[in-house]
Order: sequence, then structure tokens, then C-alpha cells
Amino acid sequence: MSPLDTLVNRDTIIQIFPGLANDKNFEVHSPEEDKYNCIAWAVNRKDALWWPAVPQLDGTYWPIENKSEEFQNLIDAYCSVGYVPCETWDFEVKFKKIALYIDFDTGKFTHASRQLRSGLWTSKLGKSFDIIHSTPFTIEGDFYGSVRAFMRIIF
Amino acid sequence: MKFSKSISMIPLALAISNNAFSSIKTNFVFNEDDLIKNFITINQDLIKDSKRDAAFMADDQYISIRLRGFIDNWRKETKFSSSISKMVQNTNFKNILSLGKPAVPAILNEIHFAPSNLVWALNYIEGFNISKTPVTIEEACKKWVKWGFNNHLIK
Repeated sequence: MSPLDTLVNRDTIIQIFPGLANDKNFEVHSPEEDKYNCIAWAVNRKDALWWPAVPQLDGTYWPIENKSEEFQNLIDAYCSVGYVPCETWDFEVKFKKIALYIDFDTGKFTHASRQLRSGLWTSKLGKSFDIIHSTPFTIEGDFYGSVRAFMRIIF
Repeated sequence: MKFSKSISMIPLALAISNNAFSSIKTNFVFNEDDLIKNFITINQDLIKDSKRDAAFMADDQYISIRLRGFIDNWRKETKFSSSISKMVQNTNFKNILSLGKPAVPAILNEIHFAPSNLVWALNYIEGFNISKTPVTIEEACKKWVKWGFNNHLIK
């Protein structure tokens, strides 16, 4: 178990993501860090914050020209680095999968999480910790909205 | 009550009492020497206050303290957000920007000792990116600090 997986840290996170309270695999995994974000972490990158920032800000990156925060633009961004949409979040040995989240009120993307080889999922929570969770759905709620799509790439 | 020595006060003093310098018949004590002395005292106090305020406003330490408060609140309020748009639209971040160029040395000191995405405040205040190619937050902070040294903004 990670030394960061303390009661205080868990409680802080559960207050924001109540679905994790009943997630038996929930674990606080990595230190708080503001130099990368969930969108980058989903594709295993820790060298920049992936976001279509306007104006362009130092330390941020977006792989495509379109700087919209519309959900389809997140799909396009991941397509540009080799991911393709898929139907389910079921674990498949040959594929690395990611889940994409949407705020249905605004139509904008909010978050992305990644499936690990163990079949569990990992998320970078903003500037806060990386966590492990059982399914993409246990972090759904007011903050990140709902899972809207899945994508995959060959390991 | 504040009075200044003035010809216009003579009719006022005469109207109050036949004996303008007597304190027996009226509660209103009108002593020209005292008035002059008080006037000078009052105005010196005002000057001292304004000088002190001006010095305080310009004081680096004062800006640093305000900046630290805004940074702490900004980090707290955007801790779980991956959205750069939400981070830069946060009131505390806007407050950081409102400190303007006088805050640049304090911001440079902050990112010198603890590289972070506070560096974005420099993008907005100075109006440019420190690198034309994508850089990490740490690289950006180093480049900004170097820029600060070169421009004698920090020692």
C-alpha cells in the first residue's frame, strides 16, 4: 500500500468523489503534483498539462490545432496519438484503454482515466494525487461528470 | 474639529461671542495660537499617513504576503480541477494577475524555489511565452527565473 494512502487523504478525496467510498480498490497512489494533469496521465505522460489552453501557456500541450473544449475535440486529440474509439471498458489483454468524461450540461470534456494491466483504473485528480479505482464509474459525479466514451490502443 | 487660520473665520468668531478669546461665557474656545498649532499637527499627521501608505503599498513584502494568500487559495480551490480554463478563471488567479508587474519579482521568487504552474501568471502579466517550443513546467520556470535575473528583477 502507498504511504500516501492515509485516512486524511482518502477522506479529502471521498468528499469530492463520494463513489470512491465503496470502492474496495481505491488507493491514493502518487504525490500531489501540478506539472501534469489527467488528460496527459491517461496517455502515460507526465511532462506537460494536456489542455487546449488559449492563450498557450508555458508547460501546457495540446496535440492538435483545434483548441476547443468540446468533447469531440478530446476524442480527436487522442486519435492523433493512436487511440481509437471502442465499445466497452472491459479489460482486454492486448489493449490499453482510456475512459473519457463529459459535463453533460456544457458538452465539454472534464477528465480522462486509464486502465492498468491489472484491470484497475488510474486517474490524476487535477493538481492532487494519482489514485487507483476499480472502474471508470466510481469517480463520476458533480465534479467530473459522467463517462461518455472509451478508447483503446495496443499495448 | 479642524480649523485653519483664515480671514474668513473672523466674522464667525465675532458672532459667537463679544469676547472671542474668553472661555467664561461660551464653551467655544477660540485661541489663535492653539488653532495654528493644531492645524500644523493635524496636517503633519496626514502627510505621515499618506507617506506611510504609499511606502506600504509599494513594499515588496506586502505584495509577497498578498500573493502568498492568493496562491494558497487558488491551489485549494482548484486542487481537483484538470481544466486549465477553470484554473485561470478562478478569482484568486485573477487577483494574482491584478497585482500586475510589481508582483513579477515575487512570482519569480516563488517559482524559483518551487517550480509550479504559477508560471502562467507571468504569461498573462508579461504577455508572452518564455519558449517557442513546448517545455515542461520546470523548464519554463527555470527559463523565467533566468529572464528575471537578466532583467534585474530578482537577485
